[in-house]
Amino acid sequence: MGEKTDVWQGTLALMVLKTLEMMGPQHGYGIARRIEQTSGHLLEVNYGTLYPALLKLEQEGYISSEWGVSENKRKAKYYKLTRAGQKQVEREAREWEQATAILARFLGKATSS
Amino acid sequence: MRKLRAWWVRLGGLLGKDRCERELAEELESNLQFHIEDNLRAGMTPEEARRCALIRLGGLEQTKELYRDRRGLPRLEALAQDVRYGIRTLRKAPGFAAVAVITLALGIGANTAIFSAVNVALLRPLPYRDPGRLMWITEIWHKEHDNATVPSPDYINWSAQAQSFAELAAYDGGSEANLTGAGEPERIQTVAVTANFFHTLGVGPALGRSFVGREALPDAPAVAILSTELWQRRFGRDPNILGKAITLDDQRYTVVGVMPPSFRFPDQDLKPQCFVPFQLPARADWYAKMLADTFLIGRLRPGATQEQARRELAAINQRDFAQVSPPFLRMGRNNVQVQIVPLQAKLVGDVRSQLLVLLAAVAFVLLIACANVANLQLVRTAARQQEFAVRAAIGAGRARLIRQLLTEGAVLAFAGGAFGLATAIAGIRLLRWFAPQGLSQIAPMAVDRSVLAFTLGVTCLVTILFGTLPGLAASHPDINETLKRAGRRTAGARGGRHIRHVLATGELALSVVLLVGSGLLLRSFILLANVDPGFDPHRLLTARVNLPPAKYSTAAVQWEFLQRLMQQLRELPGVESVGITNVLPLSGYAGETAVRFEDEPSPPPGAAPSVPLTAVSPDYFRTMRVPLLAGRFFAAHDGTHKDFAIIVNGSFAQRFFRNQNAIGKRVRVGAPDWPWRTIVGVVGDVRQLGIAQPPQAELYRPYASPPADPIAANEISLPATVAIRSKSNPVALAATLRHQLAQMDPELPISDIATMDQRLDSSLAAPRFNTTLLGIFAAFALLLAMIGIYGVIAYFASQRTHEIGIRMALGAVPKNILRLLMGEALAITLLGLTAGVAGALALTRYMANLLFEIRPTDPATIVAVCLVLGGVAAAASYLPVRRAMKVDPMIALRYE
Repeated sequence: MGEKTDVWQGTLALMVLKTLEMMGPQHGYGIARRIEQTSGHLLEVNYGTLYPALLKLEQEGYISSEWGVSENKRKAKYYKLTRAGQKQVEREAREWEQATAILARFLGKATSS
Repeated sequence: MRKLRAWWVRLGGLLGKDRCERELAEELESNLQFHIEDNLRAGMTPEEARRCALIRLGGLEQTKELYRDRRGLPRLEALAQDVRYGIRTLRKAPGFAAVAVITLALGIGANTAIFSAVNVALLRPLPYRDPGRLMWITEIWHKEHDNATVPSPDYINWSAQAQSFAELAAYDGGSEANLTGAGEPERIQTVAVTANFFHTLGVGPALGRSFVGREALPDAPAVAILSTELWQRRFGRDPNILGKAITLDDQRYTVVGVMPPSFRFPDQDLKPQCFVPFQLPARADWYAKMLADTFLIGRLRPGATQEQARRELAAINQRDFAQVSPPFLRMGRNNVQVQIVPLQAKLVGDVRSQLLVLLAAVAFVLLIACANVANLQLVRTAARQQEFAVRAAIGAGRARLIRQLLTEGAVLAFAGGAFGLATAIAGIRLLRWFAPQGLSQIAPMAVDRSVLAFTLGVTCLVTILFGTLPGLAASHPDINETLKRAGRRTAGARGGRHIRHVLATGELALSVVLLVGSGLLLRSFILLANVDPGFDPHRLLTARVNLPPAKYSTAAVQWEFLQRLMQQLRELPGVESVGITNVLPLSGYAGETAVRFEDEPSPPPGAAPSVPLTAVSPDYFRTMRVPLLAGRFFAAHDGTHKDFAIIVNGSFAQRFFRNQNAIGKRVRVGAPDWPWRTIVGVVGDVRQLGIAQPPQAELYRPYASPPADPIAANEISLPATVAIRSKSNPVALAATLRHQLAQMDPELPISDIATMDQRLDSSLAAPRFNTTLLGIFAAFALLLAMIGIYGVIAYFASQRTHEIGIRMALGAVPKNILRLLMGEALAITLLGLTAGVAGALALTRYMANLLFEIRPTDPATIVAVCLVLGGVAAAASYLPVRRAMKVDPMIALRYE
């Protein structure tokens, strides 16, 4: 497991948090779908990374989870942002904006990840 | 912070695994269903929808595995896995596991037990305030005797003038007193201490107060401080004891304090039950009638060093000597040396070398045990080459393999450690039970936190010691070779073989050192046990009779009583004879006296030789069966006659009269103006100081001296110990003696009743203890070394079965095979013995002071040990070699 995964996981975490912030409580499948959608299907979320990432965020206390029932009556585990998660989204978003802005100056034009 | 929280949750994740696993499966399942539904909505057929969803989800198991890694702590789980695996593999080899665990348990247990003794005796600080500053101060008057005592004038000068000491306290050598009043009269030990004594140590009474200055002045009201033991036993923990009076030797003392139960008197020779003020004059006066001997403890002032203090005290002595020099005390007083040692060093002095020798011995045993277990492990890892190769082939790194072997080692070591602790607790009980006085009296041994830490440390060390070696040997397997060979048996891996040889050789060498040590102790013990004490110890009952001076005020009254007692005892059935002395053999000297000879010019003051003087009744020598070499024993009239009689021992006659006849010669003891005494007899040497101490020149005088004798005039009270020679078992006489005494004076306590055999036996207790312990360790080492050599040779032989088969098929006769294998055994043995003898020569000198009349490099012992170990090694290699010689070439070759 090289550095690539770590970076990827770092950005994935922010995406997850941002998604939850925008959409409210959501199950894992929904989060994945939403991320793919938002990225304009440029990204494909790997479940092997998504679920461990969700677990990590939960262990760190940024999100919490509970079992619920979906609109089509399917049992699913719903994740939602905690107060600490809310703050974390803001902080990380700020950092990313800064980082991408800096990179953008070097590259001349904005490129997404 | 967040990280920490995550760790905590993950640690929790190790628990409740099943539930998490179920939830994850459910979550992934629901994810799959969502996906399928979406696909269906997109217009796929059900099969298509399911297939696509599964592909997108990726490896389900892989996801789960990644999730698991995140959930728990993979490292910890791998460790747990290793431990489980280790336990499983050990369970598959119960014989190996049992041998290894027992070996380690005994090794660790022995170490822990001995360490617990070292811990209390050498490591734990004394139970006083800031004990590092407490010093023990003595004066050395002659080179031959290191007198522990300091005459009171020196102490008085020092405590008035010395700047290096914050405080300087003194106590007397302790005495005994009859405690009478409510209940049976009993004999208790009292010690007189200066008023600042307890303050110097930094301990105060639990009840009441310490002594104050004026109570230490002569003619002050008599006060006493009780020990907890006496307060509890005799006075039932009476809370109102303060201010009450107790009667000691018919004198009333007011109780002013009770010491706490934790208080330990800083002198293991004394067990005081009651303290009284040490009455010393305020000014140093060499002309005082009684010069008291004092034992000194000082507390160094902060910043002062031991050496500074010593120089200062010596300088004070010099000044005093220049000012006042009483002629009769000029015995080389300008040569008196002051000696200062830390109190702790003084208290553990005797025990120290004994304990360190034992500690070294158990450490050796543990090393041998480790070598043995490592050897066993090596044999096992050699047999498991296949397993390791397979593991390496499927991707286990070298570190991973070493870790696994280390874990297996740790499992063994910790099992050994746990059993070892149990062994140690039993061992400590055993130690406490048969440890000699010196050891057990300093402080009780127990398993406490530092002992536990020691055990844990030793266990970890053991793990590293025997876990790493096989790990290193096994961890770079040539995967290809091993897998190809698959089950074939040829000479083992080179590396492993070398390590095994080194281990076996080392074991042997360590055993040599241990066996030499224990052999030396055993030989000394045998020599000691066969020493002729100079008297016949069998069927002798001895007991102390304590006549309080208040009631039996003069020597004449005391003698009259003792004579009556002897007369009545003599008439008892079963009693052969009765004698009385002031000090029994084996228990030291009552005191020494200067001797001057009539036909020699009087030596200058202080230069006269000093010789111990013992008082005995006329029948004493007959009762003790001390042989008469010339002249006669004392007679009844020697106690009344004007012509003072004296008896010398053989050493005295030898030293001072060479070959001349000593009988009829006249000597003068004590002061130069005291009367001449005529030598009337020469008796055999008696071991007076102890069984190990060679006899020296001694004098005996009649127990009852004529009233005109200045010795008697200078004596307050002479202790009396009766010795009764019985016709049968002397123990039966004890009750009779008690009864007899109670009839004559019911107030008289009797103390220290023991047969002479018992006394002799207890003076052998310390050497017996050392010999037994070291003997046990050495026997254990011998057994382990034997197993070790057997293991190596057996393994070597079995690895070469194939080769032997070929050799024999090609015409080798058993003799060649014998040479091949025995050569290996011989090399190990010779190397081990040589290294061991070198080690023994280097190490045994540290136990010189535990030995008796034998040098630490005693060649006979070393040769004997080499023979024994050589024999053991030969025996241990014989079995496997014989088995190898009987190899049937056909079977060996088919064995492939």
